[in-house]
Amino acid sequence: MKERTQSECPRTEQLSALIDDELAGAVRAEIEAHAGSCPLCGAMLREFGELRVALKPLAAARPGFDLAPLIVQRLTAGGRRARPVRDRNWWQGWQLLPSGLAAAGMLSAGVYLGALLVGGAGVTALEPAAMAVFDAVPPGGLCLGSSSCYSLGR
Amino acid sequence: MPQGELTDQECVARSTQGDRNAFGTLVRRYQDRVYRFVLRMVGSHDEALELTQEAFMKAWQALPDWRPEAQFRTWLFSIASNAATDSLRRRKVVQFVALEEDYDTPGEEAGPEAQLQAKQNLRALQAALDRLPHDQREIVLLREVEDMSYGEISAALGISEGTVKSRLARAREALIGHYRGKNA
Repeated sequence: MKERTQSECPRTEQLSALIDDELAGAVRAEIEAHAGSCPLCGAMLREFGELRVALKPLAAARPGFDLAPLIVQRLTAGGRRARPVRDRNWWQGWQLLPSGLAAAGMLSAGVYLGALLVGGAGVTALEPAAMAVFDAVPPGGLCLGSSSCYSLGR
Repeated sequence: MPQGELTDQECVARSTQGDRNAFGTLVRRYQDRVYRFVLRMVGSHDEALELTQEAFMKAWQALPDWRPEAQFRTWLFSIASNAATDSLRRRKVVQFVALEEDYDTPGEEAGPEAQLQAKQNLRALQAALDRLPHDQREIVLLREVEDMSYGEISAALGISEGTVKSRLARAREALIGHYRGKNA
């Protein structure tokens, strides 16, 4: 295996990964061998190790009391928000079919009877002139051109 | 089976069905870890207590979305990390922690001088930690204090393992630099 020289020092992240035991076998052996002979990398590795030891006491912090009863009480008070669910399944949808058909039938019957009362059996389409109130020029508005008004016979 | 003997997966499954006692077991199991992580992130005992509770409440709400293939611990820490980050963004100020009250100093047998030295070292270390950007601080805490692997940190923070590797190395270098500066 080729050892690195001091001028080929590995990147800091390789040394950092080495101390975390996150390097694969061959790379690990290579970095270890280099750090063993390189004063710069050896010193950095030692500093990473000392930092780890220095940080360990931070793990001793505690809340000072048990939070579980407090949290469970809050859960009981608040509950869990409802998840969005589909209102009806397919079967419930099919159950609406008869009432839907009945409503559609009644609406059609109403329209038919209404037509009989207004125009008898032979319902005819309205003359276009009767719809003139809906044309582009509002009643009382200015004519943009003679053809737009006089063609309708005004 | 007593609740305390259930695995995380079993507790989560029961909690998802609405079993609050099973969730209480998870709280007892992880409250210290979540609290100390959040404390080192936000620097205030009271705020850390509040954020710890908030993290567990959010976890309860989100339990139906939890995937069995995810570790509960890393999932919980991702929630805690987001809660701490949001809090820091809101105030944009980092406070310092009164370390004397919440860590184990050397015992009486170590002598008053050794105890004082240990306290000073930790105070300097916390001050150095507080000078790191929050993304570097959280990664150092997850690795060095919570002892998470790169894979677990990657899952907790939602970043690639390559990013974990490079960010952690930068954080360590910066932390050593700040610590040296404080102790010089």
